[in-house]
Amino acid sequence: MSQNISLNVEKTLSVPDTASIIKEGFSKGMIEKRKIEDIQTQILMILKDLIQRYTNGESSSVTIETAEKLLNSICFSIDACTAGYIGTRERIDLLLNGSITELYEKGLEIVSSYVAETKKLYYRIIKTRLNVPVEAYNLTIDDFPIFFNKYSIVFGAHDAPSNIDYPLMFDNSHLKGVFYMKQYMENLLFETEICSHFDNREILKLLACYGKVYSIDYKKTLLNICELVINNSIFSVIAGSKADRLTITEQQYESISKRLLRLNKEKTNTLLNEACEKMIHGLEIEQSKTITYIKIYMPELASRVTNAVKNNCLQNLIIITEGNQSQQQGIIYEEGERMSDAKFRTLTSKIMKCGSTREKINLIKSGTQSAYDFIDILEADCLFEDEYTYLFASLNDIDLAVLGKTVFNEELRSGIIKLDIVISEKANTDINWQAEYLKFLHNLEPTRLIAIERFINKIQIADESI
Amino acid sequence: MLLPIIYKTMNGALQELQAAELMQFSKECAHGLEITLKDAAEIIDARNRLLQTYGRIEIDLEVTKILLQKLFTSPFISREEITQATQEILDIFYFIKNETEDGIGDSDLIDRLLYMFNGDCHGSIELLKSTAEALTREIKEKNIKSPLLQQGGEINNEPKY
Repeated sequence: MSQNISLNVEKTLSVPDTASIIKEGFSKGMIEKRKIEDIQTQILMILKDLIQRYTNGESSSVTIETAEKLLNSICFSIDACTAGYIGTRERIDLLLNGSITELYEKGLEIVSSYVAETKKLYYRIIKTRLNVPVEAYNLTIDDFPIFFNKYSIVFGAHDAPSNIDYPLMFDNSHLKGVFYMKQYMENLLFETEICSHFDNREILKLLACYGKVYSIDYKKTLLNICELVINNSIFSVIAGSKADRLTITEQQYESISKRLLRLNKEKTNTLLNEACEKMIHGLEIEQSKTITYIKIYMPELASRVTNAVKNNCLQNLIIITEGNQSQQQGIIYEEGERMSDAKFRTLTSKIMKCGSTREKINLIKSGTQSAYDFIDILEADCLFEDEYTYLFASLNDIDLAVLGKTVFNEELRSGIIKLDIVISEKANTDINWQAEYLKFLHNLEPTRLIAIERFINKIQIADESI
Repeated sequence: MLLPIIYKTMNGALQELQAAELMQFSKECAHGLEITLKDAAEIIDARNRLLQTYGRIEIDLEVTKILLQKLFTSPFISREEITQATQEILDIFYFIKNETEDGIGDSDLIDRLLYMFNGDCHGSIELLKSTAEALTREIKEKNIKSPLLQQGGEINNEPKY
């Protein structure tokens, strides 16, 4: 029986909980007050037993917080059992005619079977996980055992102890306990399966290019890999390439962009849906659930494409991975090794405690090997007004240009920038160090400004993962 | 969110049943000192108020029953004083449970309190109250040295189903 119910529960995970059903039944005259009191008393008896077990028989009272936690756990199990029955009338009949203790115990069995199923999903995940250096992805998977070690079916069935950071394309955060974990792992598996149709090197290249477009360290960013992969695959199909290619050249981008600009919303949807069908066919995806998972995403992608066309920022959505002129002719800035979080904290603390500007600048320059770390230090607001000027004055043109890549990131996405124009456009920034940087550039000699501008337009920060 | 259900249930018809249960219990073990239904209702009412004040939930009457049973055998308590004494010692009991974050089991704590009440305190509730803080400190120190049952403020015996 639990097997059947378990299957039904999957379909009805979003049904109202038992307490709401009782409330609804009472307001419609389907349940008498006496019966509600009887149900409450039965729940209290289960709670009494749980308090004894929770305290190892040592205490018959617990704090309100603990009692609430235990009560939530009881209700979660009862819900797990009654949610399998669709329809208010059916669920009320079950509550009226059955014993609450029996429903609770059956619920425990269902929750237990869900834990077993979730564990199987976990084993599949660790076997098929992607080889990508995205921290949130890896840490989330590495920390899944926390759930199995800490989850308590009896005392905390409604909780989902875990360190889930990695954002999925679809994640129903209204679900609780093992139901949440199961749907998270299922969706992660769908996404992994989709990504497994692509060459890992192409995925890594796509991620690195994505990081460049947004001037972020993709490894430390909360991004969804599958979404980027589907996007570029679909655009690759639109550009006439194979579905399993994630490569988009600059020429292809121009051609897709021109095509999309000519289409209205409806025709854009049709184009994307047709490309989606071709992608599914081309990748030979046969699992109907995986296909559904991709198709549910299509309206979201269509809406993003329409908005990107409207706002003239398709280059943020279609990630160009090949043939970027500035990449080919640019100057490569070798990015150094990033420091650990602990080292970073120690360094910022040292800088803050330091009384001399010269020493502060020495600490920053000698302590950071990476442009990302350097910018993180600036963002940590360790310096005061004049100190920024001294620091910037100690940097050469290339260093200043690297900082400029961050400050003028948005402007650079649209092409080459004119420094004197963008400096005045950005004058109102509320980021402290960027305001000081702009002030510093504004006061530079025009010839030096032109030199920095040339570097900003040409420089590329080398990323080891390409 | 669910606690109003508990309070409602505990303060409704259940309270009368609990008073009757306590009176019946006193008859069985009081050696002629049994309490009346009115006394029992007063104790239950005080106990429920104390639980609310200290933010605790207790479904059964075990603590009250054990305390009452032990007080019946105290050489310092008369029939007239037992209702009031039960309420006041319950107050100290729940205070210590909270202050020590449940660092001591029910039976142990009742034994300790009654030992002091019948011993050094010579039946004085006031003296017992004044020693409650010292007892709390002692339990806390003992638990720091060898954590008994603690994890997250509660005795933790969570089985993996």
